[in-house]
Amino acid sequence: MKPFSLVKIAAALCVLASTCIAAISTSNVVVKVMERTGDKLFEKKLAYPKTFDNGPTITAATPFSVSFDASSDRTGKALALDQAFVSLRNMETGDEMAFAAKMGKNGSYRMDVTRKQFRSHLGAMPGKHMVSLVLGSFDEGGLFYELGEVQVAGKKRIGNADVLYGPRDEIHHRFAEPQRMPNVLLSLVFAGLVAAPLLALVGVWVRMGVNMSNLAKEPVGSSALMVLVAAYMALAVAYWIGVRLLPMLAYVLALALPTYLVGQYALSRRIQLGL
Amino acid sequence: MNLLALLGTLLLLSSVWIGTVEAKSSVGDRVLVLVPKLESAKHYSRFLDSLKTRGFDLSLSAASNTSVSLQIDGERLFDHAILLAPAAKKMGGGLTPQDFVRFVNDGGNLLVAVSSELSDFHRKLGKQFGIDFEPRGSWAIDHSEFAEQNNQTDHRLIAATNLAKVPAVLSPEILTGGSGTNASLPVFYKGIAHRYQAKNPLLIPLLVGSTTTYSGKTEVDKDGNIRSAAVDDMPLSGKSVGLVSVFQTRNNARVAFSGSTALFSDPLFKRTESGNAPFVESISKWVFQEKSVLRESNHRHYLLSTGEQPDHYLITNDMVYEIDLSVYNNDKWHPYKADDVQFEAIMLDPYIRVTLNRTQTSDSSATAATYHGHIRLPDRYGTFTFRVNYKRTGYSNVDVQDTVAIWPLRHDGYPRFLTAAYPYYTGSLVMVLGFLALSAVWLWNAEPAALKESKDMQKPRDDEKKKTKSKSK
Repeated sequence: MKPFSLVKIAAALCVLASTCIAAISTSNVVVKVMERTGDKLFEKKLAYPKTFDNGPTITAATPFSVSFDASSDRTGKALALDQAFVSLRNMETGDEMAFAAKMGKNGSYRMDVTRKQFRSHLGAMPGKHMVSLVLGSFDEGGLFYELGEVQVAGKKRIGNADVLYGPRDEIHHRFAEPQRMPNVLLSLVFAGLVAAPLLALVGVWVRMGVNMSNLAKEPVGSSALMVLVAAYMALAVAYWIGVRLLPMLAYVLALALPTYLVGQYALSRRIQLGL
Repeated sequence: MNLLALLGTLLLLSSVWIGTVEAKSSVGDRVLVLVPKLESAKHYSRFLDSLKTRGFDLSLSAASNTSVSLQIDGERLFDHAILLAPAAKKMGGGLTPQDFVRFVNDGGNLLVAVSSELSDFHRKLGKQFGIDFEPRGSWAIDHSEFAEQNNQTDHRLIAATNLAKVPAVLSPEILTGGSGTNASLPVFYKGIAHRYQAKNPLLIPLLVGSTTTYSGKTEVDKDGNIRSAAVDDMPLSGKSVGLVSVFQTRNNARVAFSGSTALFSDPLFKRTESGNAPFVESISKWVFQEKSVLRESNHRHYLLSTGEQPDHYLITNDMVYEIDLSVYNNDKWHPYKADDVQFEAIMLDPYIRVTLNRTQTSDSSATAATYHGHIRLPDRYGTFTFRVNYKRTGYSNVDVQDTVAIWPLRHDGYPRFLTAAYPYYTGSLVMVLGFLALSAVWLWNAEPAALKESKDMQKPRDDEKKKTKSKSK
């Protein structure tokens, strides 16, 4: 730390009348948790600045109280405080809540957490809390005295209803699983089985002596007819692949007349030639 | 004569140039300052002078001035307003708290400072923004962290150090005191406390009390000593004591409430080791939109394959979304750098929410940072909203939405062939080829000559057999 920074901090402290020298003393500090029947569940007497360990669990049914005396260090007399709070600070969230201690007839201060106060305030923030005395006087200054930790019973709220001002959880869309297909090899085997009869037919034709001798006798008409019939088959296959109905129909219409005329010619030529 | 004309032209041009020089605020430089009396403005001379130095055009007016107006014919006369008249029961020419709310709704920014003697006007105005001031006559008191005033201790002059860690509003130097010691300079505060809605995301409690701070009324006893009046069973104390809170509306207007006019006063500015000046400067810069103002300068989305934005998308299309974000600081726009800008594709509920990546660029003169994301659209068709909804504490809101249509695949857009259907394809093909083959055989096949000869010879024998049969009958 640089020397100049130390000077600055010291100067800051000089203008602050802070807790460096507190003029308030506490005594007879008692932290008590009672059963509903009146039995003492927990009672601890403390002397500043000691704290208590193994703090109790506070519920709506177990009244929690803190009592203490306050006096001035200068005069030694009992003090009428301007600020006599018992503060409970949630160790997890840092939320604080203060209950005012009332001065009794004998000059002692006492704070009781009623069942109604517990249910409306403490019950909403369960967990470990630090109990502290926050005392103050316009004449004597202030005193902050941590007494110890207590457990406040209650159910934590599930989920967070607060509006998120920050990044939210990412969402990745789960796409539909692609349809499961059988093995390609199985498909190929069955495709072969389907194609086999045609191959067998061609083989039988060859054995039977099927030939194309009549092609030379009448080549023009019959070839043209075969081409046009093959074109129609090709159109059917094209539609089956591309699924474009209207272009296919247009071509079908365009080929209809030539096919009819060529067919008439080819078949009449066959008759004329006696094929 | 020519010289005079030239001089006149130069003067005219310079006045035009001066007139068009923009203030340091990103939204305008016209500020209305309302004080109890015009003479009381000298108590805030340092604060007001700092505003003038930053380029603001201040219009100082007494709160009782009936000619004060916030708007004329629906147009705002001012871009910002500062209220430093806590005891004034009414403002200007019959201005009501609703008029100031309307001013904020129209985009005006507001800075309100009150004191222990605040009026119902300010109380009602505060309630519009989730600020609930303590009863009139109350003070924020701290018996542990207080300061001296006029060589006397005054527990109502508190040295507050509980600053909110919101870098968008309070610069890191304020939080660390500028000395790197992680201890902020105390902000001296004398005024009234307020309750704030802790769960309101639009409200930021910038300066709150410490554990020993509480709100209470004071009274003077018979010996002339200040005493605290009776407090409730559960007094306002600790972090719940709001001292300075700021509010950002959904239309990005900004409002600040301070329970202490003394916070802005010269005496507290001049105190040794006072954090008031940098604190007030920081919040005034934020309220008047000189910093932490976000804007979206451009956004686009297009298909990854073509690089062009189509009229509509198809399901499972791969697309790219880009958005350019800038932040206004130190008089100009800078690229806004963050790692939490998210894109959403929404149809009733978000189907996709992903964090966008910042495009790295070496262009030092760029005024915007580009965030991009490669997104695969869901396999659901419908009307989607592409949205970047960026809301962060202290920064202005950015909400960019585009409505797009995602269509299902056309009838010819699906995969045409399936491996499981090979036998069926083969069957169709076999049928076509078989028909063609049969047609060819029928057209061109000729019976072999020996078979035809035997058929020709067999024919007369068959005819004779038929004749014999008929004779025998």
